[in-house]
Amino acid sequence: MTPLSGAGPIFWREMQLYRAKLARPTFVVSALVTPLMYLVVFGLGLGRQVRIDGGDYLTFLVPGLMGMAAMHNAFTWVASGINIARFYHRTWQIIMLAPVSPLAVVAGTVAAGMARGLFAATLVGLVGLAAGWRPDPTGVIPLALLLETALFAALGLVIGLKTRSTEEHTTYTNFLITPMGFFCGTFFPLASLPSWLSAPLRLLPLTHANIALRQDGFNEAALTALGLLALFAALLLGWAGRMVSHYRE
Amino acid sequence: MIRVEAAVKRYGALPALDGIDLAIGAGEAFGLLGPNGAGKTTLVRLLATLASPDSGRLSVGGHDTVTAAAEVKRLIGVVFQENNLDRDLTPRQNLSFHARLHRVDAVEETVTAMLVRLGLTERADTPVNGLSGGMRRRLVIGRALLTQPRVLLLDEPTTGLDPAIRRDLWTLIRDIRDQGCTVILTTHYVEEAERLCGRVGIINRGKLVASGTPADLTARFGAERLEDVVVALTTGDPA
Repeated sequence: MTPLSGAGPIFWREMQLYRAKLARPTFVVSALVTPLMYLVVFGLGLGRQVRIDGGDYLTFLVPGLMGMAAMHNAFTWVASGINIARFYHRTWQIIMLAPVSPLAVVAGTVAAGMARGLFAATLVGLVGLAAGWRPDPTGVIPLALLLETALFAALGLVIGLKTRSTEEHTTYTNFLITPMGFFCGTFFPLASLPSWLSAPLRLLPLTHANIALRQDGFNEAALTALGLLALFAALLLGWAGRMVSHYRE
Repeated sequence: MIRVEAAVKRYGALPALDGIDLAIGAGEAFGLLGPNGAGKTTLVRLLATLASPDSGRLSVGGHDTVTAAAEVKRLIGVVFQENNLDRDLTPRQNLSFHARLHRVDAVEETVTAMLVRLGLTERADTPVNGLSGGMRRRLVIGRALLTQPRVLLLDEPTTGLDPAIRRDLWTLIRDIRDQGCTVILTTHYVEEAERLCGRVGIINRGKLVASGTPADLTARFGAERLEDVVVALTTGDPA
């Protein structure tokens, strides 16, 4: 028995639950409504009159929307899933009663959150491709999305275990995740903000995900952003592991 | 098999368990009776390693529930009051997940055999949302048995079920007991404890106020029925 024994079944369960949700057409449509709305309103509507860094707005917007979709889905699925499993269905107990290591719980749960975040980002990317966006082919985008979904899924695990009610969970979404989506460079470059506002925003992980997602190849800016994402991911995974190992009801 | 020594657990200022001592032998079926909020569920949660005592010590099979929680988890099966199932998944998927998580050998065969034992083969691939309350309860108990636990903790397993389903579950629990599994059963139903357990404990306001066989307790308190003893010890009304 290895420290990762148990991660596979946890991931398998989450994917079964996700598959059950995906079987409902309304679920996929509703997951796409928000990014599509932004794409149409800002990208196709406003975007025709706007140019950023010498390029068209669609080229700027699509990576940002992919980053936002990845963040929302990786975080929300894990955090709200654990919240519901702890307080409503009580199924979190089933995992906590199994003789598996905290590492296995973190690995299985975070991997499932990553899969969901990557799926959502891919859907947005496909819509962007259809609208005329041409991505960088070097592999920066997949790597950035892997790191981003890992760190936000780990954050979801931390928040899912920290909260003591559904209302508290909503507070984290309203005061942390939603503002990150709007202020961390999804819709406009941070350089257009005053320095007193852009400086603290550089401490937030979505900022660096958006920077990495918009680079052409593994240049210095991409490597710096990827390194910071890896650091965020390592810290949050460690925190998540600590939360799981100290979990008591 | 189970030892509880001076266990104290508080939630805020209120003691949910207030210095309980208890010893239960291997293969014994022990019933815990008491009103709501008496501390029955808290004791089950401590034994299941989901919560830690503020003071005192609990052990299962010689393993401390705090310092050797993983070993304890390998010995126990737990059924809580709620049907804590993944409702979008089928009974087969719920059982398969549990079997894989606990590294049960031959998962498919074990799960299929359990579905047969529970009488759920026809609904094996229907999402749990579509099952009746009795079927869900059987599924929860069957899931706890998948790992062939040496100790089964049953926290009010039949609360809210109709009499026919309750009797059906009694048969299942009796079979488990007769196979040598140590059973702790918390319940509001005195009749249930009398039928299934060799010994019962009466718990009130976090204290174990009496324990023994039903016959011992009725004789000791000069009562006609065990129910009279429970009422007397938990409300102060004479037996």
